[in-house]
Amino acid sequence: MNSLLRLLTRLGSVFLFLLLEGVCFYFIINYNQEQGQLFLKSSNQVVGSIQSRIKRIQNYAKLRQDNQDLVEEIIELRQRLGNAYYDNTASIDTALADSSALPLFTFIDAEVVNNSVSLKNNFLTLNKGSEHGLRPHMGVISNDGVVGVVREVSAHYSVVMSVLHSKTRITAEVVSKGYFGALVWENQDPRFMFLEDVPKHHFVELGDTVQTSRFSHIFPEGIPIGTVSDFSIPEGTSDFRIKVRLSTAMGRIRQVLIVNNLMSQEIDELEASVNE
Amino acid sequence: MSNIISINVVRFIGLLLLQVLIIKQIKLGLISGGIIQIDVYPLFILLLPFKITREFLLLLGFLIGILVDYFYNSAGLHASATVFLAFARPYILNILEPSAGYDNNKGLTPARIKWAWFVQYTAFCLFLHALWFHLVDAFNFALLGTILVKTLSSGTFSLIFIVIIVAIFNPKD
Repeated sequence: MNSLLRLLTRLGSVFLFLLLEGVCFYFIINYNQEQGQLFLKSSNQVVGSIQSRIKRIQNYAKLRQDNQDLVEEIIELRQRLGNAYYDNTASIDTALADSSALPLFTFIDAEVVNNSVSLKNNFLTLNKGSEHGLRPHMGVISNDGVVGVVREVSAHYSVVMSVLHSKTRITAEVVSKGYFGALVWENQDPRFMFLEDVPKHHFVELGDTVQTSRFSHIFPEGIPIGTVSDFSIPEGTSDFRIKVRLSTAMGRIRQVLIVNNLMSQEIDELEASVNE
Repeated sequence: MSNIISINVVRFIGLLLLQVLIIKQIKLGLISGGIIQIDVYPLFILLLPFKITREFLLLLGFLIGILVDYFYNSAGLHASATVFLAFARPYILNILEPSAGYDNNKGLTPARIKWAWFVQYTAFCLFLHALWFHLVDAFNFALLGTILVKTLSSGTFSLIFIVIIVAIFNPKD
């Protein structure tokens, strides 16, 4: 009896080893086909949340690259849009002109390195300059809408006149109603701008979309600006004063695109020649 | 006594976190394809006191292995290898017994014994651990050659990492 007991204690570890290996193999065989799902379900919440935290940290580290990839894709897509092309078709008598569209707008991405929204005349600084092809009078947009116009460029940086500037005047249209106006800012609230010079015979509705018009050489047609949030006709005038809620959160812009009109020089020279 | 316990509790948690938070992110590729499995958590088993009972050793091996499995989504694979390592440890210690024998009250560390002995002991254990791991992992579809390549690479890199860790912390017990 005594020796049997001794044998059992001696072999106890072997039995335990076989038992534990049995449990392990049970797990391996039962859970490894559908690994992730079954096992995750049975694993406790703590492990799951730690895992997702690690994933979030990893994702955060990759954000910059992801962002860059997305910007490149946006540029690619924007340059394919209809409003980025110059329609080169012209019907000449009976001859069928070959329908071709020349690229009219190209886009350059940049990051905002400095920004203000609280001053009377607000400017943004971008981390791209003349070396990257920027020139004054180029338009600047974000994914949400219009941001401003380039004023000064150095080799690697540029200063953009924000739409939140007392001298801003952007031709804008309410596309569903077909009227135009000049968009101005009155240094009050960085969320709102005013659309002026809209004759009062037009029909204005709250929520109408305001966007860039095709008369602008700076922006492609149809870049969103905002929505109509309020309107009135000041006494003694015959024009609407339409309050536009901007679609871009100007204070939070990180990434912008600079709009390069490939034919702007041609237009400018042509228009200048008339004035001479 | 309680000192030994607290040291090992801290080591358990520390090595587990090191394994699943940091080592897991290291993805060294094999020339023949696949990623080298680097394991530093077996160090916990290696450094447990000499006088620990075999049963307790096995249970601790199972515990740390199954926790690592949770993070690797590998259900029982690490646990199986670590239980095997825990089972084999007394025999390995027997084989490698220094001429002066082991001191019941001192740790199995290079600080207490010798670096040469410790590296030998660690290498022995890690290659056994890796061999078992890759045998069970492959189960029935991989060739013996692949298993050996994986075992050698995994054992070697695990050994390097563990030696570095031990050299940094240089534990006594």
